[in-house]
Amino acid sequence: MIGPGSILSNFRCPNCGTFQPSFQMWRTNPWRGPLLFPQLEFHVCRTCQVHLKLSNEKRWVVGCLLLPTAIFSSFTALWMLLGTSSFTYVDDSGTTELTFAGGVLLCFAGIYLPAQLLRRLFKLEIVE
Amino acid sequence: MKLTSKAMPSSDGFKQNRVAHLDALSQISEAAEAARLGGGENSRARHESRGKMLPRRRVANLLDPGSPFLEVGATAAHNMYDNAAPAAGVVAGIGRVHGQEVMVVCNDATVKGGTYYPMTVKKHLRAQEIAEENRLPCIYLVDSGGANLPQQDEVFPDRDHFGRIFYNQARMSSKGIPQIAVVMGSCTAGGAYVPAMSDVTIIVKEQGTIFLAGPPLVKAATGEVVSAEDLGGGDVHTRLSGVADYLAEDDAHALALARRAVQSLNITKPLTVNWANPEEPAYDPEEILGVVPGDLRTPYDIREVIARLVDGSRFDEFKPRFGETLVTGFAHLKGCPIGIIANNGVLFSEAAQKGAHFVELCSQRKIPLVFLQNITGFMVGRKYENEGIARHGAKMVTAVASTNVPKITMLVGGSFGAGNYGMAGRAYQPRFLWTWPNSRISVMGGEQAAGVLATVKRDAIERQGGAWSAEEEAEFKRPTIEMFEEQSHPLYASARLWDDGIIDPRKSRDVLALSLSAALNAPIEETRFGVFRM
Repeated sequence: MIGPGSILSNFRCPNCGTFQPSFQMWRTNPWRGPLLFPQLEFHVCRTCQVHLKLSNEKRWVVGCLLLPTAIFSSFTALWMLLGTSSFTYVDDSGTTELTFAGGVLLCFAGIYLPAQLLRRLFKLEIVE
Repeated sequence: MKLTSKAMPSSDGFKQNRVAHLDALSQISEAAEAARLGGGENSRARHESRGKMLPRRRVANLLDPGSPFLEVGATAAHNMYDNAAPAAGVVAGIGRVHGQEVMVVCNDATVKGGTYYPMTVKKHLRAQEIAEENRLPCIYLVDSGGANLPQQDEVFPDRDHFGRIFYNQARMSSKGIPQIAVVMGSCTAGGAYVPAMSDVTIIVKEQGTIFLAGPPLVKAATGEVVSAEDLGGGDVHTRLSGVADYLAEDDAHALALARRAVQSLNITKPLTVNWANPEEPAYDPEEILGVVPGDLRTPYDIREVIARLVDGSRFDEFKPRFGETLVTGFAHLKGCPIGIIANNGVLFSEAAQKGAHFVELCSQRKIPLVFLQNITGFMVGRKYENEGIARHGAKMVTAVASTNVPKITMLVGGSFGAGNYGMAGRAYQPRFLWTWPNSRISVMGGEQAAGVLATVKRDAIERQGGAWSAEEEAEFKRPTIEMFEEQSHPLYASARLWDDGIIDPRKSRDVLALSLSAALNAPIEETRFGVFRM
């Protein structure tokens, strides 16, 4: 399925330029480990039938350096931002916490968005 | 010796031939494209909405990147069953998984739920026959509701019907030919035996089901109300029953597990022939369309085709001055040594003897045979009968029937009468039989058949003292000629699996090379010939 993740990650087939499913492509990452979902050797492009996989060239930079930094900064910025609206933040009888909508927004914009955007640093390569 | 072509690509004849072939080819491509789509748009959308891959996508995800797929029976069941079963509802062919050539049989659930029509059974059995003869591991991607109930009389009871599939599985497994099943949908009733009789079975979680009777039948028989998943889902079969060995999360994972199963087969291809370095032909295979006349009745030199098929266009012709209507000789095709037997006209006694001699040679040297069939039959007439053409023809037929070297037949023109037998027609069990779009196959030409029937009828009328006008005779002949024209067409033949597929003549070299490569997975046995009538 081509969803927003594919567009945010910009996972395009190097052969025909069409978007590829983000989740399926992520499964071809050999270092990701099989804990969350079984790995695949490749993903076949629906349009041109070329076998694709995710390159793992920048895995250390992305996984250890950029991703934690991006998540931490997004969280901090978002926390401050969300506190300005009663829709996302409750300040009542001594308790200060996020509303449900605030929590969803924080997860989406603080984890999902940076993770997907950082995937742009990975390249799709054709399996020969 | 390198063959020299006399073809002139700039000539009008060359261009006309090319147009005629492209015309015939477009008709075949149209039929093949329709078959590729499988079931209707709604069925495909419904199938995908369940998170399932379409059958051809499953095959693509199973095979190695860049692997060729030698499809068998791509236009099977064309124009049959009111066109309800494109490609007979099953995709079959040879591809490579981790470098190992395998036979893939994949049900198309978008075609009547993957149920088996008579041609589906025939195609499945043909795929298994190819696998058994060539010792190719079988991978079944199962998604089928079992036998098509309205056609049960043509699917279930006979020897070469549904049950034969499981018989073949057991026999192949006993011969050490691996059987791997991936359950990606229903496996109901008899179909449940495909995974149950496989060496390794993989099932997709919350998608694949295996049971002898589905929930409705269980309810009707015993009153028990049970869901399909609880009755025979992946969890049940991998945890409780042991019918399946691996539980896959989805189609892609199941295919990855199947690839892993092939990786551990530990099979090595026997070295049966001396491979040479492959080389392109000196003449462009693209020119085949121009050198072969569009009209079957126009004679041409078959060496023009050979020059565009074999490595370096080199052909070591055997007995070039004897029995000249049959061309025999040795060559290499993408490095594989082959013996070629090709028609260059009607078969005479000398040609038949030469053919038998050449088959003996190749059998002794264990060289695969390629038959290029364009035959109107054996020569007839008093002179030829008196010199014993039946005896000489029988020698060739005996030799072709008895030899144990791999035979690959390609219909490059007509295939009529007993010539079909001598040139390794379907009954002579070539490992593969491919046809060109311009080919025709029937017991004799339509005109000849109509002429025979008209002669019998005329004799009967004249015996009773009646008269038969030329117009009446022409009217009598017309339906027979039309029937023969329709039934000899390659689409009609391929729909009934009288061959393994119609190919683009320009791809003949690739198809032959893949066929040879697949055939050489099996060791070449010693040949013992029958009695030749001398």
